[in-house]
Amino acid sequence: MSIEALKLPKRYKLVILYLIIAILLPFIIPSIYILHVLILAHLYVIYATSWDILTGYTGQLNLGHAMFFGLSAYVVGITNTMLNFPLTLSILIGIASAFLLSLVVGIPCLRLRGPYLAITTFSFSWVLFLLASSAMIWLSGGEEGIRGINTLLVGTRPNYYLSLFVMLLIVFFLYKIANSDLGLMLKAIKEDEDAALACGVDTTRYKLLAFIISGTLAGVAGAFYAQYMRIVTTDVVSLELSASAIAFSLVGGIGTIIGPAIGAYILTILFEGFAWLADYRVFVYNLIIVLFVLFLPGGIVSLRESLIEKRRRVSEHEG
Amino acid sequence: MRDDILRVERLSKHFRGLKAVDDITFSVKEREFLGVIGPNGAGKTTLFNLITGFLKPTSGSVYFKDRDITRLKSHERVKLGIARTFQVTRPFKKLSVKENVKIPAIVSHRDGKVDNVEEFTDQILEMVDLIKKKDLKAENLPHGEIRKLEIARAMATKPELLLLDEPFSGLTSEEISALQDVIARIHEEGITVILIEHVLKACMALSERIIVLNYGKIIADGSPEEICMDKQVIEAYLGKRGMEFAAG
Repeated sequence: MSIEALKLPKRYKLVILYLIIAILLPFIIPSIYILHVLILAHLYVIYATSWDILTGYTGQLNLGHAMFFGLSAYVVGITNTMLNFPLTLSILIGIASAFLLSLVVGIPCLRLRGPYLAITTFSFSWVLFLLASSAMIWLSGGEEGIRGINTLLVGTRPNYYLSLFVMLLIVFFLYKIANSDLGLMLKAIKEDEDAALACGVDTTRYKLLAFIISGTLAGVAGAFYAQYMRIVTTDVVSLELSASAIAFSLVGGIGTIIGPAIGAYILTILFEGFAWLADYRVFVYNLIIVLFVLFLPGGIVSLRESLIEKRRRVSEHEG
Repeated sequence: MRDDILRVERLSKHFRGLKAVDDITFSVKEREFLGVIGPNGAGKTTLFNLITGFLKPTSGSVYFKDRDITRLKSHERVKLGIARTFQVTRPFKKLSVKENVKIPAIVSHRDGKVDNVEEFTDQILEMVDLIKKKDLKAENLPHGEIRKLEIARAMATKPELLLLDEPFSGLTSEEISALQDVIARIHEEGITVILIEHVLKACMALSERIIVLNYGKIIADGSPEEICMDKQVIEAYLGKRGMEFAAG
C-alpha cells in the first residue's frame, strides 16, 4: 500500500484524537486557569485562521487584523454597557461592524494592487488604537477599558465548550472554503493576479469576498472575547495583536488554515507558560516572525510534509 | 463574406512621450489566422494588452463582434470570448497542471459555456497532450510544456478569439513543431487566432495574413508571401537575414 493511500485516514485519526482530548479535557484537568488559557487559544485560532484565508490563501497582506477583532469587541462593550442593548443584539452588531469595516477598507483598497492594502490596514488599526487609547477615552474608557459587559454563559467550563464549538465550526468552514473551487480561485490570485484575470476570474470580487469573510470572522472572535472577558481594553486593537496574527500563522504554516490554528494554540499556551515574556510580546512576536521566515518559512505543518516526502523517497529506494 | 470578429479603430497608447501604439486601425475576420510581426519595441505586446483589457488606451476603440469593448475589464472580455497567453509564461506554479486548467474551466462553467468541469478540463489537457502530467506541479514542467499549459488555460476559457504572444520563444525545434500542430488544430476547430511571433518560419507557415508593426504603426498588411516581398518590411524589420529568408 502506498503512503498516499495511508495519508488521509491518518489525518482523520489525528483530528479525532484531538476532538476526544479537547472534549474530555475539562474533566481530566479541572484547573480553571488552564481552561481559561485554552478559551483564549480557541479565540486566537479563529483570529489566526481568518487572517490566513485573506493573506495566506489570497496573498493580500493585512497588517492590521486586530482592527476587526477590536472594533467588534468595543462595539459589543459599548452597546451592551452604555446603550444597555441585550447581549445577543450587541454581539450581532459587533460582528456586523467588523463586516462593515471590511467593506469600507476592502472596496477601495482591493481595486488597486501593490502595498495599498498593507498600508491601509496598518493605518486603520493604528488609528483605532489611538482613538481607543486617547482621542475617544470618553467612549472606550482608555486604559481602564469598558467593564461590566454581560456574558452569554457563566463559568469557565461552559465558555470552554462554547468557544471550542464556535472555533471548530469556523475552522471547518474555512477549511472547506480553502479546498473548494473558491479556494482554488483565491490561490490563483495569490500566485499571479494577471494570469487569474486572463483565466476570466473576477479578481477584485474574489479578493473582496475573502476580505469580508476574513474580517467578519475576526469580528466573531472579538465579540466572543468581549462577552467572555467582560472587559475590553486597548489590548484588542493593539499592534501586538495584529502582529500575533502573522506570528501564529508563520509558526503553524501560512496558507494552510490548519497551520495557523496550530500556531495560535502553541503560542498562546507558550506565552501563558512564560508569563514574564508578556511585556516583551511585540519583540518576541517579531523575533519569531524573522526566525520562521529565515529557517522554516512553511511553518510546523511543512515539517510533516517533508517527513512524508522523505519516507516516500526511502520507500521508492527500497521498492 | 466572413464578418469581422475584431475591429481596432484609431487605437493609440502613449507611455509619457513614447507612442507604443500609434493610431492603429485594422480588423480580423472570423476564423482568420493573423500573424503580427515587428522588431522589438514595435508595440506588439502593447497592442495585445489593449485588445485584452490589460491596458487602457490613450485614445481609440476596440470592437469585438461589433460591440464596443474598450471600457470592459479583462475578465469581462474573457467572458465574451477573448483569451490570451503571455509572452513571459505565467503558470500558477504551486498548483497542479490540472488545477491550472480547472480555474478557467470553472469560470466557463459558471458562465454557462461548459457543462462538466472535470470532463472539460481533461479534454483540454488531452488536446495539448498534458493529460499524463496533470497531477504534476506546474513549476516542475519543462519550458515547452509550460507553453502548452498556457495555451490549455486560454482554451479552457472557451474563446472565439485567441491571442498568442510569442508562444514559440525559448523552444527547441522539436517543441516548436509539436506546438505548431496544437495551434493549427485549434484554428481548425474554428477559433480565430492572432499570433505575435519572432520565430518567423512558424508564423509564416501558420498565418493566412500578416501585419507588420514598426514604431507603433502598421507598415505592411498582406499575405505571408506579400510580406516577404515588401521592401519596406525587409528594410525596417527583416534586414539582411530577411532578404535571404525571402529569397528562399
